[in-house]
Amino acid sequence: MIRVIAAAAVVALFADDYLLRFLAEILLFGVAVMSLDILIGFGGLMSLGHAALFGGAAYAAAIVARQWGGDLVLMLGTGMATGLVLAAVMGVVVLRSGQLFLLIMTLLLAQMLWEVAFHWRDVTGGADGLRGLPALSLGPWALSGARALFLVAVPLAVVAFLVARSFIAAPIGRALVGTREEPIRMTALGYSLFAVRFRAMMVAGAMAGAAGALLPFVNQYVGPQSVHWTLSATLVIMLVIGGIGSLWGGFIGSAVYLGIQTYLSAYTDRWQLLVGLVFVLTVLLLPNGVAGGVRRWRS
Amino acid sequence: MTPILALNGITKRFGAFTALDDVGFTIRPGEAVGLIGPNGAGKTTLFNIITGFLRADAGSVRFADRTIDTVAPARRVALGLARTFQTAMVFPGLTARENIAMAVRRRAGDGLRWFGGASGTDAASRLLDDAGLAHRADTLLRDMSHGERRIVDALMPLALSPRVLLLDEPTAGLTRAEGERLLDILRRQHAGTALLLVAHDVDIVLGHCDRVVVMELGRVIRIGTPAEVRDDAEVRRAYLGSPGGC
Amino acid sequence: MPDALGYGAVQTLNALSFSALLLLNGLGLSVVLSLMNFVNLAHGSFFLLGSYVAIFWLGSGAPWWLAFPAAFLAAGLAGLLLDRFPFRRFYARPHLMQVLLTYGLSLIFADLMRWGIGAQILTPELPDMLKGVVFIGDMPFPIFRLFLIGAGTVLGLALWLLLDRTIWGAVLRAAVTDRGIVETLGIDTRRVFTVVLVLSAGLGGLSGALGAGMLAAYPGLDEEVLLLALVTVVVGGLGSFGGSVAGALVVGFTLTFSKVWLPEFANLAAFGALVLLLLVRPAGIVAPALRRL
Repeated sequence: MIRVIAAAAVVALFADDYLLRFLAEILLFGVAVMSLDILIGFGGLMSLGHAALFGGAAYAAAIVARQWGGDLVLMLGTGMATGLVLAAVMGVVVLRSGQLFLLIMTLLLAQMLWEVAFHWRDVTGGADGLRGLPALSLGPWALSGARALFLVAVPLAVVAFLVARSFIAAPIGRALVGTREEPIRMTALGYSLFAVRFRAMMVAGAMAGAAGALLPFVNQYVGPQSVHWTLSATLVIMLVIGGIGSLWGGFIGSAVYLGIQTYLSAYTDRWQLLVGLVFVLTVLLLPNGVAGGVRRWRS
Repeated sequence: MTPILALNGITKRFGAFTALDDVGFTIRPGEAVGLIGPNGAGKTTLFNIITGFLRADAGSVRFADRTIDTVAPARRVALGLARTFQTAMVFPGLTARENIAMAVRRRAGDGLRWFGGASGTDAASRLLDDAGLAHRADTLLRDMSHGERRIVDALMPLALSPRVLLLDEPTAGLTRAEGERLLDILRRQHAGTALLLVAHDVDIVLGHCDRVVVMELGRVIRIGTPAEVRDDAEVRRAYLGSPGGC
Repeated sequence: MPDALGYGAVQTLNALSFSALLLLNGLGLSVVLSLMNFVNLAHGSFFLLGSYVAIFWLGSGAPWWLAFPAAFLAAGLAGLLLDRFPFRRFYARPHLMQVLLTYGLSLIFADLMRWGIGAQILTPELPDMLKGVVFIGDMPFPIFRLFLIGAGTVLGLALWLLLDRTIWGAVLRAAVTDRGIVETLGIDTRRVFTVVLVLSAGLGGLSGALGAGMLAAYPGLDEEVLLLALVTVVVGGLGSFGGSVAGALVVGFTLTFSKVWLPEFANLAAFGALVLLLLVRPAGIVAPALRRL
């Protein structure tokens, strides 16, 4: 933990603005991927609608910020509340059913949000999205620069990681793993599958929401792509590259993906091909992702 | 003594096939009742109806003086009605201790907690200790032998301290000695828990149960003590093989 | 004042032609899903491949009607290669792994097609026979869509006969229920699965060829079509032919008429209606009769 803080401090001192903004984006996506890992990796709940929670919170924060300013606490609160509400709706609708059904219901619900974001121009800006957001602030301090955003994203990622880890280690987290491994036995032990999964959904929603709330400030923009199902799929890709079932793997996955997207797209138009290849090779060769590969290599 | 579990007129059809036909019997608190019958007698279907995984077409299940026909499976467990399945249903990615602690926490009402509450690992360790598996407590279930898995599988519902425990073929795939040991553990620790035991091995059932229910083709054909059942001509014909037969 | 009756009839025909397309494409996805328990998110790629093949075929001056078998064969060949590697290794794996593998592959195929063909929107050069419109009341209706309805009905019936009424279909269904038993009869189930996948891919390609005349072809169509196919299959219910027909009709009519009544929020309304339907009937309209436990 101390090493992480020290490394973050060094980076914050020496990296340029472009890199800092990029790293902040990686951290925010990493938190979203980690929250998705709670559902997929630990709960076996294959969601293809996670961008709705992440991007929905981003929209909510941007809209609130344009009204009342970009206070950090207000933003995080808005994002988490949005994530919780959307996760609750999604949970009530999708969690009573089997795998394939869950996949498609999450997808449908998330696409409904995209339709709203895309067509409700007065509020969401439609296809253009929202720009010109006020700066993020904490009390009297403005957190406008890339360095400030990075220094907000680091503690957010650390806290989210600790929260996720404690959730997974707690009885509720063990119960979640139980519902993935042998749901019928869990029922026979008197656990309500819905109660367990719904709690996981809420935690994932709050985490994705907190990260999503800061996304518009790092990108200086929020648009309909941030709630589109392809972003949900992208989060799954990041999760798989990083390693399903490893919480910190989410950060690796988001770094690899965003790295390819940001740096390789400058050299070649075929970066999506490369992402696809990396992804398929990961599935074929490293079913537990980079994190799983590292673990196996160490032992 | 009033029965803890009473079945009355249970009937279940799958299409044209009648799996259970007017099945009724009772179990008293703390009693061990064996349930035997050839394949297709309806034993597992009956288990699924008692525990709420299936709905009967007719008849009722009374548990502790309360009709529970509309109670969901997980709620029935909370009332004190626990079960195992024909195949061992364990959590392969968790250790033996964590497997059993899952049940211990549910029993204590701590199963869904994030903060506070007991982890249940002490009670789980004690149960494993009693079953002679203390040395395997930290082994993942997927790395255990079939016999060990079966024991953990049976210990899990036992950790719920149920009033009635339904055991579906707990000794399947075990050697005779392993099976005897498993039933010893269950009977020694069940203090107050009534057992309903299904097993293919008739000797095990007759040896460990106070009463035996014999089923054939969805109907109860005989209820009696092990001695009575052993000597019953119809039972011999239906299940044990005709006298002087192979 | 437009002819209200003709307008309604035209919209109904629109919905029917869209449903025919959804049915053919959905059947392709549904056979592998219900028969092999394999989730193929690369199914949209077969569709788009079929669209491109048909568009180039129709532009080449070769006999137009061969465009459809050509699309079927091209996509079927792609399916055959994919079955060899890497699909076969994933047939027995959990849905999650299948989803990941096939989605990744669909990304690769999408970019390869964009690379080879470009990002422009292509429309097929239809033969004179299928060009133009007929008038229903005062309302024009494209002849091609009538052709689509006819083709969907005929092909759907043929598939139903094949899967439900032939010994080959019986073997197939038996192989799904109990692979071991069928293998003891001396039938190589691996080959059966290969045939099913090729058939599914071919159907995807054929739907793409037919769909090109209605939807055109462009990068991203593969994803849209995949989504529609998934929704069709789930709404209809897995494992029955009647379910796929019902799913295609419900999705086709819902999407078409929500566009008529609520042009701006058409998809929102349609998806909402489908979500509601799935809540009421979680196993689909035609639920498979399965014994639980």
